[in-house]
Amino acid sequence: MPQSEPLISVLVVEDDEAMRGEFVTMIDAAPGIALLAAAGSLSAARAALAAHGTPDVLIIDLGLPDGDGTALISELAATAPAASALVITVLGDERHVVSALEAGAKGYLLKDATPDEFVRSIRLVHEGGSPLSPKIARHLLKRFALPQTEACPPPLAQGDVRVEHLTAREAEILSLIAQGNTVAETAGALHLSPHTVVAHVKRIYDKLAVNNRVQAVNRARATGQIK
Amino acid sequence: MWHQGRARLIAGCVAILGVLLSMAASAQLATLAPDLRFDQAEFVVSNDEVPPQSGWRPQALPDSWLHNHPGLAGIGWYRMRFKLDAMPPQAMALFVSRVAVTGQFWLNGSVLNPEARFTPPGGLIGSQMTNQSYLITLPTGLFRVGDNVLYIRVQGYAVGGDGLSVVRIGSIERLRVPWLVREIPQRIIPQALIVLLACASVFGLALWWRTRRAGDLHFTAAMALWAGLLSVYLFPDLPLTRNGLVIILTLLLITLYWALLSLFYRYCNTPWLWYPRLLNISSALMVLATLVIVLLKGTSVHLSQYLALVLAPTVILRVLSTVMLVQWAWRERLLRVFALMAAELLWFGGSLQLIAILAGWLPHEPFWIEQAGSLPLFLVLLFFFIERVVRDREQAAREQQAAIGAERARILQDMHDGMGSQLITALRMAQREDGDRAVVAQSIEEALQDLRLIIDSLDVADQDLLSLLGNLRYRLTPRLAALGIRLDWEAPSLTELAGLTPRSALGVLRIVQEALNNAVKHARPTVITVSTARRDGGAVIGVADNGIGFDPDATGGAGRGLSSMRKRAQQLGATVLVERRDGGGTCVSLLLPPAVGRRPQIADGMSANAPQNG
Repeated sequence: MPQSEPLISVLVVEDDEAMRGEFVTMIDAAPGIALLAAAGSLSAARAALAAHGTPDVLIIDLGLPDGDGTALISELAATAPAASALVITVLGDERHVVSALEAGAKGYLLKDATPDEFVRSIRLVHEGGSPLSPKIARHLLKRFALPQTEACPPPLAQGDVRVEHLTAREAEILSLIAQGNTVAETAGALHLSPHTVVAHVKRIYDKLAVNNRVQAVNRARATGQIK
Repeated sequence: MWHQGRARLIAGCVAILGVLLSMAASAQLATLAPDLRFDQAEFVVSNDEVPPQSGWRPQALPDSWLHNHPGLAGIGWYRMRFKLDAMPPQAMALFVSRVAVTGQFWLNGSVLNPEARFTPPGGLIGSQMTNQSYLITLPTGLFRVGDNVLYIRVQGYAVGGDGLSVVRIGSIERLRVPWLVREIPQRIIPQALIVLLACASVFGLALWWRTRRAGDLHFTAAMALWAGLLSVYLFPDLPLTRNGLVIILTLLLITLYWALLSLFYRYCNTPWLWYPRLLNISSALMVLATLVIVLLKGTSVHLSQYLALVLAPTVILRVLSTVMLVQWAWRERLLRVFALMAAELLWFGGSLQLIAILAGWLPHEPFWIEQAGSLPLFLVLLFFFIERVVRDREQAAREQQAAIGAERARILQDMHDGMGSQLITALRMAQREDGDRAVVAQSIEEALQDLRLIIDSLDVADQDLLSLLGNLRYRLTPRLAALGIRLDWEAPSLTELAGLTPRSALGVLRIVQEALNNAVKHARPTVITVSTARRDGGAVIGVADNGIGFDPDATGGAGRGLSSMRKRAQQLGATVLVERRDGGGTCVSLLLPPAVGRRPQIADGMSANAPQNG
């Protein structure tokens, strides 16, 4: 990594002390990545954010002693859209990952990731990449309503609260990834550049988070919390 | 206390005395009142709407038209003359024990039931009195000292039951008893039965809506048809012609018998497998015959006689189903079975009595047991139905419990076979003085890999093996890359694999994982290629490496991995082939049969015997 490139600042939120230490060690050892702060709870993480400002990448565990990590992901997504969140998970199972993606996370890290994988994931997500496993892709396909005939759904008007659907292209990408293809293979099959495929995946993630917020608003409306 | 008790005693005695006195007084009055029972009358056939003046001939009562006026279909008048020495001291009552179709009563020129309508030829049916008994209050003002005359106008259709039954005039209290003896079984019980049948059919329908089971729909249909049939009998003034009513009744009877008899067949465990076919065919033929007769003789006054002939086979069918039930009761000797048999016999007996009366073989005077006699049958059928519903629910709950238990056992077994044994290996190695940390780490890593495979395999709703393999590739590619191994992927389109269960999916994933681990550990390759293809309705999954190869017959190392793969394949009904590749390296192929994992009993037996750790 050339020295001229700016450092990627990372905030680690993990309640297990040994694990947190491991992450800090890996970040310290990695060139081009700098630790902004490490916290063991949501409140400590909020304090760190207040003291040190917004990180480039947030690495966060979901089950924290004082609440769910998705809360902090949503807060960060609202206040600092440029920051990317990675969720730490033991198994990479659908339940954890999808709820994190819905909260606005851009990907996940397995707890037993090797230092190489760890660093690569941080760099990838900071560069705008969004890793997507076949199982999660398949799950997302089911989650979204099937694409309509139009190539692109009409854009959201101001104040118009509606759920976004996948475009036909996005659905194609998801189903190719769900069949075990890598991003590069998917791009080759669709005659696209890998960069375009990554951009599509990122947009799918955004839609997932947007839909999650829309559904939350609709739920609140239905229950009379918003007029 | 004592005084109070004595006061009560005296008051009680006075009250009893008062009741006795009043009863004696009313008995005295009753003896003063006339008690007329008409055994003789005069009869004339006439369509006149007022009592005819001439043509009267003597006629003994009860009078059956079938016997005394064969072929008579129309309106007849009865005249009963009697003398009174004095006006009755209180209101009296007219008791007519049975009015077959429509009847009207005239006392000294006054019509007692002006609401009764007679059926005009070819017109809509009049009041349907359907064998009810009548008790009509006669105010004293209707009587005269000296000559009195009672006219009864009745309609008939040349079938058994037409005519006039016993006619009495007497005190209301005395005639109420014989009236109730008929009113309760012939009107009150059937009316209650209609309500019960309607409730039962709503219940059956609601249940069927949830279960969509043929048996529930069948029960609902039987109950609804039965309620419909009784309603036609009991609700007066239907907007139908006489023949229309007869046609509807015939079709309702055929379908109701079909529904009830097949319900009996369903309940009793009979060896007569031919019975349902006989029932279905003969019911269909009877419906067909009815339609043909309606087309040919739809306007005939004798339509009801023709249709009675059409219904004749139902008697045979009912005899057969009765024999079936009796045999069943004899075999089972259970109270509930005897109850069903007895109820059916009563019901059938009622029908036989009705047929005998209609055919003129029995006098029509005794009350008809058919309608009231079907109440016990309804109650027993309802009991059978509810019992079955309860039993099914218990069964479903047990099956659900069993399925949960089986799934839990499977996941436990999966954890035991894979990650459990890997963790134990790691633990033992860590506990040894000279334990190899690399082996510990590797065992734990394998345990984690296995845990992820178990979780992946839980979700095979789409029987989509490719997605599971893709996930394995997604996870392993970076790790293999770290070891300097490229993972190639040749998986064009292995679509769904029929019969893929979580268990068989896990088996496949473990074999592929084991093949990859073997290649990494023993072959020192630079490229591993995972390929999938369809073959003979099943699939082939290949794991090929470009390494140094290994000895498939070796007992340790790669050989152990291979024997574990073979065992897992055997549990799936699949085969593992190991071949040396021409340019060096090894290819492990897993051949999956068309319905992979469809041999659960073998798989279970195998996993029970499989060695648990290496």
